[in-house]
Amino acid sequence: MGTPRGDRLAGEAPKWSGMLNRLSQVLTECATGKVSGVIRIAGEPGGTVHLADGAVVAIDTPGAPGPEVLLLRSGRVPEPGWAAAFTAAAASGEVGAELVRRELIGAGELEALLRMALADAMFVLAAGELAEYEVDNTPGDCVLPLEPAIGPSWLLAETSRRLAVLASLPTPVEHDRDRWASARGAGPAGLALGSGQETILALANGRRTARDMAFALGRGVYAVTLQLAQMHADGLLVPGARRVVPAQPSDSGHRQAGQDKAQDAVKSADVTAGEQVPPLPRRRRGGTAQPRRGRPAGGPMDRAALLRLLRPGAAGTDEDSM
Amino acid sequence: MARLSESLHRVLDVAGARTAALVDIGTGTVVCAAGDGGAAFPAAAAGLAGEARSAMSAFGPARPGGDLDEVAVVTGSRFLLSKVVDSRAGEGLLLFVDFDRAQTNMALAAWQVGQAASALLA
Repeated sequence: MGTPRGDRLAGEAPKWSGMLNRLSQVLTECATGKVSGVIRIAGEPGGTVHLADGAVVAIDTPGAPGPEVLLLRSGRVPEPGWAAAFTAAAASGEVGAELVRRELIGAGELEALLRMALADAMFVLAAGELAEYEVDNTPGDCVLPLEPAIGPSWLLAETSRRLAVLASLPTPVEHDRDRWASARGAGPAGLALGSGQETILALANGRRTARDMAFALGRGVYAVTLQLAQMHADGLLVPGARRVVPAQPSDSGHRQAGQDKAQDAVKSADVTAGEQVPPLPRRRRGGTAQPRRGRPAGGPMDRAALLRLLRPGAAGTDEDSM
Repeated sequence: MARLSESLHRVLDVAGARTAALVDIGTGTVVCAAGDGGAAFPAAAAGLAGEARSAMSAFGPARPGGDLDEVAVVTGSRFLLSKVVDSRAGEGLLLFVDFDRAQTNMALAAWQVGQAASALLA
């Protein structure tokens, strides 16, 4: 039986402590300044924190299922009901109130679910990598904001507790890297499955991480991670190959939206947000394997190249037509 | 809205109640709380959630006696009551209330918490 992560040296500070400190600093500053808008976090997994008067109302991240996934995949709200409520709330934007009005979910249950979703999203952000962040005072769109918004202190304290719990496990588990396979026949004789363990075993095909299973089940990443760790300890699961995560640059920084555009353009290669990563070079039929000669990101294109682009029939620059 | 917070504050009206909290069974997270639980409260809540998970596991998947309803812990000075308000595979929510035992009629308190629990998530 293999062992997940064990590569941290004794006495070494866990990697998440620095990330949590940075998040804490950003959120505390925004709370002090009563910022209404978003914090865009570039990194792995990255995400967007929605703020109202400095308090957190929603977090979007590809690292954890959002409220919509939690409601639908778990079966708490049927899809037709969700679609009807979503359509009815198109004008007001108050999907949550519409779900409650249609008695698809209780107000208290929805509030609890939204709080748990925020805690889970903050957990994956803190356990990940922060390359850069940007505070934008323009409010972003979010389907199910938490009302009332929650101050960062509760989120940060809960995140710290979760990370400490995971760090204290006998065999540390990484929710976004360790893939799991069922240990068929390896479980203790007479061990009765329960609490959703059958579903976990059905999903454990050696290719799914805790994050993947959380999305599939409509459950929190942290809750699934804890359950995987317990099932591993019970001999029901074995870790498979680990997912490789691209390294992030270490010089994390802060940007204020709308400032230093020219500097951002020059530094664009340093920016690791998904939408700003330069695209991979594309091969064209009959072309060479050489990558396209790119212009400096965001810099002025030289006039000759611009004229070539404007020429009738021109598909691109010289190397495109090779 | 603040529905959860208001509901939990109403639970504190039960005689002897010191702290009321909604706790996630799967993770031990204190989703919302009312009253002064102290700095150790999150750890205590996580421990109670673990007890609930253990009890559920002990019953096995067949659960011949039915689903877990509540867990009561009585010490010399305290009465700790955890009422399951929402239960799903691998997760669920507990209404946890910490009572001062000297000021509590435990049977009456358990009934009153049961009444509050049924309305908590509505």
